[in-house]
Amino acid sequence: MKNVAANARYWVVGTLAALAGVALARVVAPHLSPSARIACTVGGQLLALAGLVFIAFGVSRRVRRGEKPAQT
Amino acid sequence: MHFHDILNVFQGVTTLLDSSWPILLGRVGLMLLGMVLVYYGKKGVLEPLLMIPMGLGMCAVNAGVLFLDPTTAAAVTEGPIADGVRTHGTLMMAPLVQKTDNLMYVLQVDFLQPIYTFAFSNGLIACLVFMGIGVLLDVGFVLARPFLSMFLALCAELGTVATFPIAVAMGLPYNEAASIAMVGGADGPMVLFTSLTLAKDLFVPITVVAYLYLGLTYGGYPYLIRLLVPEKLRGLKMPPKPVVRITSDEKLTFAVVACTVLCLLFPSAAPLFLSLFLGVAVREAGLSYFVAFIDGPILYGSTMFLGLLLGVLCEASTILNPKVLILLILGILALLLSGIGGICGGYLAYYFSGRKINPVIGIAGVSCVPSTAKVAQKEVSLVTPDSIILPEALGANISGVITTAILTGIYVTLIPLLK
Repeated sequence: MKNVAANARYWVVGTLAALAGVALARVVAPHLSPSARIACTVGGQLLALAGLVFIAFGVSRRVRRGEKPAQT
Repeated sequence: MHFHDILNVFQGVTTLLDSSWPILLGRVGLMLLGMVLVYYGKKGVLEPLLMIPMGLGMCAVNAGVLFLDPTTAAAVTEGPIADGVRTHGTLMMAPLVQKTDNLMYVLQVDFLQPIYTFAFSNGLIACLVFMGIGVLLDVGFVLARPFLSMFLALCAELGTVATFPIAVAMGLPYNEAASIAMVGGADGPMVLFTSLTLAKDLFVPITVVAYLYLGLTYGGYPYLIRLLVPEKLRGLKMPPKPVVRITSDEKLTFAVVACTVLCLLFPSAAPLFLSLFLGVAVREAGLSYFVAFIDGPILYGSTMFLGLLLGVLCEASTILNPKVLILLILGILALLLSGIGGICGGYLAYYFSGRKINPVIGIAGVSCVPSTAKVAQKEVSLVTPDSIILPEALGANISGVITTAILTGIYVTLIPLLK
């Protein structure tokens, strides 16, 4: 898990963004008015997916930097 | 001894002559279609693992129709049978039975009914196939090139998104429109899962149409590539890149995070996400016994029974639905649009990358793993034999699986909310 820990910023931010997106879409949105609900649901889903892409971006950045993966 | 006693010996023929014209023609046509599927499966034009059991199942179910005894007929039709009425049926499967008592009776009569009831109609077989796909996937290709992969995969969902309003405009209700639109994702288990969840009455023709067309992607997409991408661009060599080393701990962590987030977001599609990422996790955790079990007996066993059940479901009286023609048109439209969307995505990547990315990679965004990636590499190799695009194509291909699963989740979650 050394590679994950060494790149923790992307993992933590990406995971938190994804979970915030989930909270927006599944927890906050149902309590809003119908018009705001759709926007909040879609926004939350996009934020959650963006969080996953951000994690992937962090990994690809480590690769592009040419960092050698640590032995686990 | 009378003539009809002799006919009763050969009930497959007698029921054929006793049927109405549409059913008679449908049974003969489906038997011939089954033979064609077996032939093209053997020739390698269509996917043999699926088409040979499916084709044989189609032949057998349409040939093996008999006169059911009154008790079985009452259970299968779920209603009283008038005296003197002879009900046609088979001893293979009765997919439309729903009442518990009738189902318990049919489970003891029809030999494929237990597999259908306990593994097919609840989506288990789709999830098992998906688990097998997960074991075959290397998410490292996505993690290495996330933006390119996800962009191409999103473009290649054009058919999945655009077919939905077209289907609604053609008169299908939202649930059926979403189910047939999923054909554009070119992922059989997803279509099966979506149609089982949203359009249970129409899942047989939708799934059969989907699998028939998916078998054609391997043969049809090369022509689409040649039509839309000139030879000069098809042969484009991409600049060499160093071997990407994404470690298994990164892939495993990503699988866990992605599975959890997607299940939180789309609980209706959680069985699919769990199956896919369980396969990925087992592979990346190095559980070699599980890997051998999932990508051997589970994947191939599920594929064989999936093909067989789909074939057996193609009994003329079950599949002949006025909506089948619309489904056939929409299915091919969805796949065509997805292919075009993927190649358009490939062109955009080509221009935005400073003409370095081969646009053929776009077709691999269509998530028929690994067929479309192999098709892309094959078409490029035909023009420039030493041009290697497979790593990028596989990245787009695997992203395609994930985006199709996400779209499945969106449809399964949102369609029941639409009025």
